[in-house]
Amino acid sequence: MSQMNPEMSTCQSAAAVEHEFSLPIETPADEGHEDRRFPRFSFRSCLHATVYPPPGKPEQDPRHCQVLTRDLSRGGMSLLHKEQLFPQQTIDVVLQDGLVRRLEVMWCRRMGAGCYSAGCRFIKLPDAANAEPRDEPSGE
Amino acid sequence: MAGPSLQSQGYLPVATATLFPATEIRCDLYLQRVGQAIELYRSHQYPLEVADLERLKQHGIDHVYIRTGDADIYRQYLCQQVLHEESVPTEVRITALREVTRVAFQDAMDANDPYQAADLASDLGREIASLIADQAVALQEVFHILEHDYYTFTHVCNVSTYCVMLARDLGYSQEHELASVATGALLHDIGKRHVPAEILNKPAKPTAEEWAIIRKHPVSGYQELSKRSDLSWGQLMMVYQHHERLDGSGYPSGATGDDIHPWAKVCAVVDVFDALTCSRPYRQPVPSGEVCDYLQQHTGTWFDREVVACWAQQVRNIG
Ligand SMILES: [Fe+2]
Ligand SMILES: [Fe+2]
Repeated sequence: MSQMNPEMSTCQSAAAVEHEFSLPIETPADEGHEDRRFPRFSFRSCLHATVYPPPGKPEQDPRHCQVLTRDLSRGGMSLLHKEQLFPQQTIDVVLQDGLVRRLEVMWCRRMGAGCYSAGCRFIKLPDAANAEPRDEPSGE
Repeated sequence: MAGPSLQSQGYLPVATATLFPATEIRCDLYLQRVGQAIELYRSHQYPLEVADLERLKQHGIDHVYIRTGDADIYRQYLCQQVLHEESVPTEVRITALREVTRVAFQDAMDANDPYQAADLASDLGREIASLIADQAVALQEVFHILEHDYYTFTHVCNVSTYCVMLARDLGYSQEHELASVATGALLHDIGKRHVPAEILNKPAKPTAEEWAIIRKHPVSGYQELSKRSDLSWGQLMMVYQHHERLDGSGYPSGATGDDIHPWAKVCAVVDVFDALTCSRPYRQPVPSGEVCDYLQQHTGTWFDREVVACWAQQVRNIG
């Protein structure tokens, strides 16, 4: 926008500038994955999960729910959840072999009504966590 | 107003409106005449006199400069002798507050310390809220006092002031709530620290790669601040969600409607208002009335109806 079209009304210019500085261009298909280090594989499954409150909202109780997984790599997985998730939020998922893996949300994007997609990375789970739950979740 | 070059040489602009005759500022003042190098104007031992200030005014000089290292001294001067001095007119106190904000933020950003910035923001947020709320200041008084350049410091200061005025008119009456909104607004673009200045100030459309960098600022700001227990969820959402739009066309998440925090909706409206009413290197500011039309055109799709209606009422009085 270095040269404004002189025929543009001020408000059109305003709209143009606003588009440049405030509004998004199309969401990159691979958003949040630019640093992907490991190959990913399609992994469609429904897992039990415990979604912990985002940092900044510690008073919220952890929630037990189901999440749909989309793909999996050595570094993490992406999943679908009915609520918005926030970066640095943690989620425990119970894998099919019964093991609990802890995830940290890296990015989240709305896919449709009541459906958010989140890219997560695996983080270290305290050893005891596979023996007993971190907290008693309050349910949905 | 100093461009980045003077700032990179170690000088900070200070508004002459905050200088009073015979008061001791305790730092040297510098001046840059058109086409000339910056020079010492007044050593700290010699307080300014009425005639000096008159002369500056006659020459249309509304800023002199201090050394960056004196920022703290100037800030103390403003706080002690201007900001809390009841006899000082409200518009001068607002100017002083803007100066304090800019100088303080410059410091914190130079130190690349988001925690220092957050500490400062909560102090300054309280000051902004108490000045705006106590004095029942109207937008038409403030708009002409605020600066409308494109520096991030100016922008966050303006957005914070506007947020308090808008929140107040939306019915947030408690001073601690308004202070909280002001603080969140001061921090809303803190993630822009990671966006290179050449991208932010670029007079051409950003490339796709540059866009990807710009789009990260709400996330990086949120990530840096989210572990601070003294910031509320509303404040964090002002940082994370101020570019979200009601219809899901915003970023970073594309959240819609009720998934966007009310304070983020307030911040979104005044953020765009300030972005458009400020000048940029390649265009003049858009008149406030036209920005208001623009906001109203996008009511319900991008912006919250009630928030825009309330803001439009204040903007229409600017004249
Ligand atoms: Fe922003
Ligand atoms: Fe902003």
